[in-house]
Amino acid sequence: MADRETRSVRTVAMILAGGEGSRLSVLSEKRAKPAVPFGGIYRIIDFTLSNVMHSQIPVVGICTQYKPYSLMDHISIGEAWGFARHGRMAKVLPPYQGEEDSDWYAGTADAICQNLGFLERHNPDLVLILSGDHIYRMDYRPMIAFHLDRQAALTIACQEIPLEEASRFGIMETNAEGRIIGFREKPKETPRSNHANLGIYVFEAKILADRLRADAHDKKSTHDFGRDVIPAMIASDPCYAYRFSGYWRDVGTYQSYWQAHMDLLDPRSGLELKRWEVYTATKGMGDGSLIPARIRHGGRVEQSVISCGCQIEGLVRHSVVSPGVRVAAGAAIENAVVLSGVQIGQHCVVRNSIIDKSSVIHDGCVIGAEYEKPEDANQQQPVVTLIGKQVELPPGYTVCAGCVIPFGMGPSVLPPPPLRPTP
Amino acid sequence: MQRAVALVLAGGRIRGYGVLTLNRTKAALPFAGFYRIADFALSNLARSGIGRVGLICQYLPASLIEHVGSGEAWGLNGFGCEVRLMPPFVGVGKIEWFRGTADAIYQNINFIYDWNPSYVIICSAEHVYSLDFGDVIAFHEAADADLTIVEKQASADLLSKRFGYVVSDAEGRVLRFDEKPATPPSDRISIGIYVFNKNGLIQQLERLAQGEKCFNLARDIIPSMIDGHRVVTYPFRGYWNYLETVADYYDASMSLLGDSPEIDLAGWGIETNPNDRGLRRRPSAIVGPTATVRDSLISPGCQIEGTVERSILSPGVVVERDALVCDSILMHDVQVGRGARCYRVVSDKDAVFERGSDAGSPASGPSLNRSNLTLIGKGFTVKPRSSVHWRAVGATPGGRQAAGQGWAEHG
Repeated sequence: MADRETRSVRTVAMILAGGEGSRLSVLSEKRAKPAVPFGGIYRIIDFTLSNVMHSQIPVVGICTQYKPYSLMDHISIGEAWGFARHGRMAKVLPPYQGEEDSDWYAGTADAICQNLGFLERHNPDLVLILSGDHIYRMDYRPMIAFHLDRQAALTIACQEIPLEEASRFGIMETNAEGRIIGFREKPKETPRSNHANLGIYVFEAKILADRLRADAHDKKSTHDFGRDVIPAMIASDPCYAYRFSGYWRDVGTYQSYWQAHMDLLDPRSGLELKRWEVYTATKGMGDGSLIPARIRHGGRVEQSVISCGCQIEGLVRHSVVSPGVRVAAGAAIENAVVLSGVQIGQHCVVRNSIIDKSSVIHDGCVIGAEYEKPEDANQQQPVVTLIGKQVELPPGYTVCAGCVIPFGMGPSVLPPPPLRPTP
Repeated sequence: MQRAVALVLAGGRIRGYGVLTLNRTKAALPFAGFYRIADFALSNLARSGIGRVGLICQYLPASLIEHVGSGEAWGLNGFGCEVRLMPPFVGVGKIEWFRGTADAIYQNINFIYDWNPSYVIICSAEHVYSLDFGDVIAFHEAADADLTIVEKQASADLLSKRFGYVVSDAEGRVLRFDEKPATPPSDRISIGIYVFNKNGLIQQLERLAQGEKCFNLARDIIPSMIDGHRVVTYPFRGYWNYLETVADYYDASMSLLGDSPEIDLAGWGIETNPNDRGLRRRPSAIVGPTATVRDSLISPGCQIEGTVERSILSPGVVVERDALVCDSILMHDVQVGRGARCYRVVSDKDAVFERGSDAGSPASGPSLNRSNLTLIGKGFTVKPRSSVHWRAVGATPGGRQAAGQGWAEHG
């Protein structure tokens, strides 16, 4: 193992894209979390797929389970990321029924375990296991070199995070050489270390297969990497932590999804789409949305991301706007994430909000309106409002900050305004 | 037998576009950010269900050939569809370039034999318009015509230019067709779109085989068909611009802006090649905190920190802080440095306006041409704090800047 070189080692990447993403709320009501749009023209999984591509890893499997249609449609055969060539492959791997009692993926480890056949066909030395719902730019090759250098069975990418956020992550303790000596998934009490697991794993392929098969037979296991497989391996195998210091964000909640978009507008955040070369599968053909953005007379755009096919007649400030969005005259949107095809009528006011695809906001609506709620007064983060896909708000409707409106709600089912968040 | 095929004339030599056509034919000139002019003809044909298109190109066709590719962007590939590129060629006993529009079609007559259609559409790739060719063919059939000429009533400003003029009777039957006459006989002009019955067209082109020098469609073929054939006109209403000069190109571009733009890219269903200069791989435009953008078209990959007014920016244009871009067309990846100014500039790709430079501002000098446009060639650098104005400034045909200044052209 010691004399292997990064170049000659065969790596297959597996992306866990199954997550239902319930904390993303109505954004993942109609699509898998990795298929949620991001940054104007992308979907969240584009970031991981582009990383795999730029790291020159030729084969990638994408394990999907929850509402896979938009994801399968998006990835197709991976042409947009250069996987549709000889010797390369991107394959969406939904659950299947076989001779054994295979079933829906029970957990992250089970999703890989059920696809060991796919891995065996490609016979890699290493398996790179990734998550489909993180926003970051990383070349995996230095991490693979680190893994080979340490002769590790498993290498986990980690990043230092503020201790108060530790309860959201898997937290690792390491010794002076970087070997992991302790691992706690989402610890309740403040841990001794602040090295968070970023969900990026390099496994020795044979060891991975052994450990997954052992885990599959363990009746007590939940078949999850963070809860079961990794803690067991730390006790038995050489596992190392690889520090990654670039921008990385888990957009698992709609609040963090909104925050990542605000990072996009801040050049100091480290999230730089122009430099990252993220690729996506643009349909663009035939749907009429591939035309330049039009900022009309009287329209104003400040510190924003504006996509193709947008028509801006009002004010767009500090917002990320996806293709084909119309903002009518007199409307003002601020700190907003507006997904494709949304129409915002005249004199609407939108603040601190996410508006999902194809929603229609009629004239004079207010979204993200302030209201009395003293216990929120000392909160630093603004309260984010979320409007689901294909929602129609009648003219003059008011939605208070913190509300979530599910898919397809329209004037006939909405309560009289103002709409307040359910406590 | 297929109903109709189209032969699209994509350009002989171009005058009057200066540095913008040093490296490309006019049909390949970028338009409206990330389109090219040929997209209008190709999209109109594809949307009309005309799946077999021959593209006749002679002058610098490389960028056009690359842009058209397989025709996939317009749905013109796959079963029963084709975009066939038709550059000039040598053959046994044949060493001629295309000697005119009729000659170009005659030299590619196999395209018509291959598909054996009822009708042949002949149109140009250099016009900006929207037309359903299905309507024209239905009209042609209903009129039982041998040739249908699409015509339009010319506005006063167009009448100063030279066209083919049509005089027709009350039923629309053409009585006279005068190509570029000294005095126009009517205010009806041919807009260069024709539907021929296949047999009638082939019969006319056979005259070339007999050695007759009838190389030009409008001058030699059409006038001679009026007697003895049924030639009718189809009235076209709507926006049409044939981009004769760079001033026309500029005016057409500005027709994309304003309160009620005359050109409606989305409504017209104009498609373009999404891989052109990595279009599909460019992120959405970023408008920075110090930017002001008014009445403009902004393409993906743009980064704007300065002021942009009544302008059209192609993908990847960077406008730095305190820069001012006004009434201008900036093509792909042009950089406008801090404090630089562009006023009525048409800049080709990759040009750099360095900090504090001034292109075309009214203060920078007297007007040298009628349209007051400043043309900047591909890859040209306007040096820091220098100024260029009222003239075309070029780069060498290879795209590289000539040593020192580059060359200038007064238009």
